[in-house]
Amino acid sequence: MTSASKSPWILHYNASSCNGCDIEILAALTPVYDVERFGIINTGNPAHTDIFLVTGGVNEQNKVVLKNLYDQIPEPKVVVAVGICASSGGVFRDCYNISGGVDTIIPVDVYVPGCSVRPEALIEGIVKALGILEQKRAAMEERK
Amino acid sequence: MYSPELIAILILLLVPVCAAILLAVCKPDIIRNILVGISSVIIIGTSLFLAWNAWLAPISVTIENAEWISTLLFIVELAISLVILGLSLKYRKVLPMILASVQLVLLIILEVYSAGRTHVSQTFVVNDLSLVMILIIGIIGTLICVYALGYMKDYHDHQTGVPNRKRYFFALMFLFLSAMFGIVLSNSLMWILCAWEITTLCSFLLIGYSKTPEAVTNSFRAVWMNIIGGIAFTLALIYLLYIPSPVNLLSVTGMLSYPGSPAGLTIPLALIALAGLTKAAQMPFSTWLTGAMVAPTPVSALLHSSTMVKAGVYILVLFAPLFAHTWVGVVLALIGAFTFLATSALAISQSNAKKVLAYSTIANLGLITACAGIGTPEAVTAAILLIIFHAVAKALLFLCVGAVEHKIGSKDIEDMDGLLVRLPLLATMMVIGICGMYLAPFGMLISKWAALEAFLTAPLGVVFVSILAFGSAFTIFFWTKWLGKLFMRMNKPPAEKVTLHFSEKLPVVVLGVLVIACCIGFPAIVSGVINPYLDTHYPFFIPGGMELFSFDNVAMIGLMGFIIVLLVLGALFGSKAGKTLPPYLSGCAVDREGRFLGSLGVYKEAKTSNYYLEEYCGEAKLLKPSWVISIILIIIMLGIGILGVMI
Amino acid sequence: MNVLLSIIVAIAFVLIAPLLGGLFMGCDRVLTARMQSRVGPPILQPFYDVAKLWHKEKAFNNPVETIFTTAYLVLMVLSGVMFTTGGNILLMVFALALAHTFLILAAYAANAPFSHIGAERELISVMITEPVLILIAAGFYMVSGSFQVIDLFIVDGSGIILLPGIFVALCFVILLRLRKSPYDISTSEHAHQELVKGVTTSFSGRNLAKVEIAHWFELVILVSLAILFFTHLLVFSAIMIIVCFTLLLIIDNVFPRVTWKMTMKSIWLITLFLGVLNLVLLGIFGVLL
Ligand code: SF4
Repeated sequence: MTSASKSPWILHYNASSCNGCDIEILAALTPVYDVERFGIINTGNPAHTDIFLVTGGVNEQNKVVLKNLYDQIPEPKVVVAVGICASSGGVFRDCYNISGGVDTIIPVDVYVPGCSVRPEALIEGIVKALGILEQKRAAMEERK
Repeated sequence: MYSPELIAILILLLVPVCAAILLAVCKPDIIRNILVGISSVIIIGTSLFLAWNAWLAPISVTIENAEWISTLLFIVELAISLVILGLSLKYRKVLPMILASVQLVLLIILEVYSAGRTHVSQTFVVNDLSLVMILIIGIIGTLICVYALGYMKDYHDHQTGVPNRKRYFFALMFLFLSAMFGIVLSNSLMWILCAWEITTLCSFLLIGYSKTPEAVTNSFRAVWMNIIGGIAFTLALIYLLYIPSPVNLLSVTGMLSYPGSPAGLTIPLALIALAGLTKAAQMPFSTWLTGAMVAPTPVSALLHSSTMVKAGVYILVLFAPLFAHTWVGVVLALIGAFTFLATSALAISQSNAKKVLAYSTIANLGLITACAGIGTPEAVTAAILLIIFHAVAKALLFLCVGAVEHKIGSKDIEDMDGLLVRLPLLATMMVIGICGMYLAPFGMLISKWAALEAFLTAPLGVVFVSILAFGSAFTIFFWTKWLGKLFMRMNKPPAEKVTLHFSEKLPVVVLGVLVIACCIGFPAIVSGVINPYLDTHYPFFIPGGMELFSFDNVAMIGLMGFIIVLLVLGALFGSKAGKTLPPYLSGCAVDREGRFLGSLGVYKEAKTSNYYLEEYCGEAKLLKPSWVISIILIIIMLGIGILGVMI
Repeated sequence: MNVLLSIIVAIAFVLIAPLLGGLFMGCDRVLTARMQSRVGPPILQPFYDVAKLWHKEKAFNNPVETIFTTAYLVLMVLSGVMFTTGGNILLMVFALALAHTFLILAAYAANAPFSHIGAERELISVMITEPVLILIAAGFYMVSGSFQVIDLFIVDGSGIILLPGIFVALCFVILLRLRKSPYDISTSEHAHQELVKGVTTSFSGRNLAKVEIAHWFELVILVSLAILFFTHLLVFSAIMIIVCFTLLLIIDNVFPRVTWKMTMKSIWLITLFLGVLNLVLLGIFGVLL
């Protein structure tokens, strides 16, 4: 483990989630699950972010916002699609305004299914993401 | 037959007058440019010469049979009062009319009673303090006049409604320079009074230059406030006639060498302090200076930053040895310190750049007044340093704001974002000026330190120190937010080609260099100019007593300066590799300028403006209470002056 | 102090201060977590954070940010060096203000609404602290007759006895400079901030790391300023400092919704009533001592 995976800072974006998954993300910050144990902080700011958590399927309105936020995160970065909506569009997949899962707009590294996602699953997803973050960082160092 | 020093003094006094007369007559622009250029070169050269000689050894020159000059000057004074009276009649302004008539009567009384006693043994005295003032007036004053050449051209292109009276304008500017030289060179208080009145008249006429209703109102406000000072000055002189004394008290040297106890001088001192307060626009007289900002910018720069208001504090610093350890001095210092605090806070609430400069000017003059009132050698050191640094940096800032105003069409600080890219030269100079006003290791900060050290040993020192501490906090706030604005939106492309007149560029650059030179040379200024001055005026003065000037501290200040230079170089030549992100707007930004798509499909720019803390620092909130407090303080000062005699 | 010793002290400061500062921040985070009945991060977490930031991609809103944040760090270090080598306390205060000016300018230069407001509020917090720092310098001058830190060590008696009011004001300044309260200025990692990340919103990667390290230096400087009040009671001072900071952390966590206006009013009132009164009394009775 290097410092990259010891201090993953998170940006949480609600694309068009029903709020179910969002509540679970916040639950992970509460004393019961306490993700700060792993150095995880919810920054709310793309400039400081390592892991991008997106909930909900992407609709026409927030496509741009999602792309923008992704672009503003400095490398190395990992995207985690939280919940089935974010992974594939879920039950909203066929709605007139939904363009599908997050991966229709930006590359996704980890899919965490569930409706809504359980905090344990979420934490496991983030731990997976940490591994990918390590790889990306190593790749970045090599490119230099 | 005349010594070179006397000739130099006469050149300084008369060349501006001649230039004024010629400028009033000649119409073509080209002749005016040449005239202004030539007389500026003469004035700068002569003031350098005179300053050099005065530095080698203080100069004092006597003119025999000077009575006719006194008579001439008396006639000039009467004429000034009559002009003001006439104009107040024309515009139906009652208050200035009454005050001008009082002044007229007092002048006649003074002249009648002083008949035959005006002879002063030394006509002109140039010591190290007047040397500083001569350089300020001679160099900065003329640079401002040169700047005015280009500025007035643009001014009349922009303000088409204002009648073109450039001849009148330049004549007044030069007349004003002459009067300023008169104040700092003459030893006779009668002569100083005359020059004092001329500066009042010039500022009155120049503020009203555009003849708009606002300008007229403000010019009359300026004149009645300044006449109060004139009346106080005249009363002081009348009173001085009644004090029995072996030396002629109607001269600066006479006052300073008064053999009796200083308690006998408290009444005239309090009156002169009042005169100084009006001229230096201290509370409650501050409104004339803020109102004077309607005038063209060179006027603001010349009258209100570097020279005229400095005449007020010059008089106070001149008599600082007498103020030392008197209660009149302490209360005077309190008024100054209070003004510093109140106007620094007021400056926070202003977004008009000229108004910010005006308030900051008043604040700094307040600090100088405080130092003069305390009057110890340390305080006077601080006061002189403040005078020098403030004159240079503030003149630079005024000139920059004036030029920027014509280029971007606004003098609002909110409109100055990204100026470093849009107008690189002017903005760089502005940055230098602002840094010079408040940041370590630049000049004003050094002087504030000196002031702090002086306050700590003064009576009521803790009060002054606390006021300085809080006032400095306000200062940091309003300067930094202005500085920040200049660095905002730097990713914009440079503005379309704007040309700056050579006559504007030259003074701005020279002043910018001067600001830096003064900062580098401050130890030399202290040891070369200020210490000798203190040596002659304070018998127990020990040079080098102040901690600020110890080698370690100067070296540390130098180190800080060096680091700043390295950083500037780094900013200019350092690597800029890396990804440029668009501004963060919660993901809604669509481009680098920070625009976002509004709800109706319109692109909008996300705009933020600075804090002005109106609810705490607004004029509506602070002005009236400050007037009350300062008026009470002035009454106390005058009261103590009167009691000082009776005790 | 001779030059060689000064240089050794300066180098030691530059090496040790960030360790202490980082540890202090780590303790703060653990303690806060415990108060919220969480486990909290490892105590070395701040170091992991900075190490991670250091290796991130170079990105900025405006290239000037890089040099401005460097300036912030360099001047902060300089100010600390001045202090620890027994230099001039007033000069140190000025260097501190200059350092903050650079941080604020960097945030201005970013030209994003959030960082602009962050800069503006950081400026307010600088404005709030400035009078207190100047009064500390003045108070030390009144006690020791000099602005040199070294002279304060030599003088008899401790600052805390003569300057208790000023000490209290300093404690509140440290609370403010921890950057956790007030919540509308805060840049803290805790959820109680209003403006994304305050003044640091638009810094990323190394720039943010520099700001973070400079912050550690600042904390160490302020805490050593507090220790200066106990020159002859070093053991006692260690206990006092620990007690004070636990208290401060508790205050901080109990009032997570303090606004900058409340902060400004309360700190300035404390400064005026305790600090200035303290100096006035010292001025009156100092002669007797
Ligand atoms: S996955 Fe379920 S809980 Fe999560 S956003 Fe979709 S519908 Fe809501």
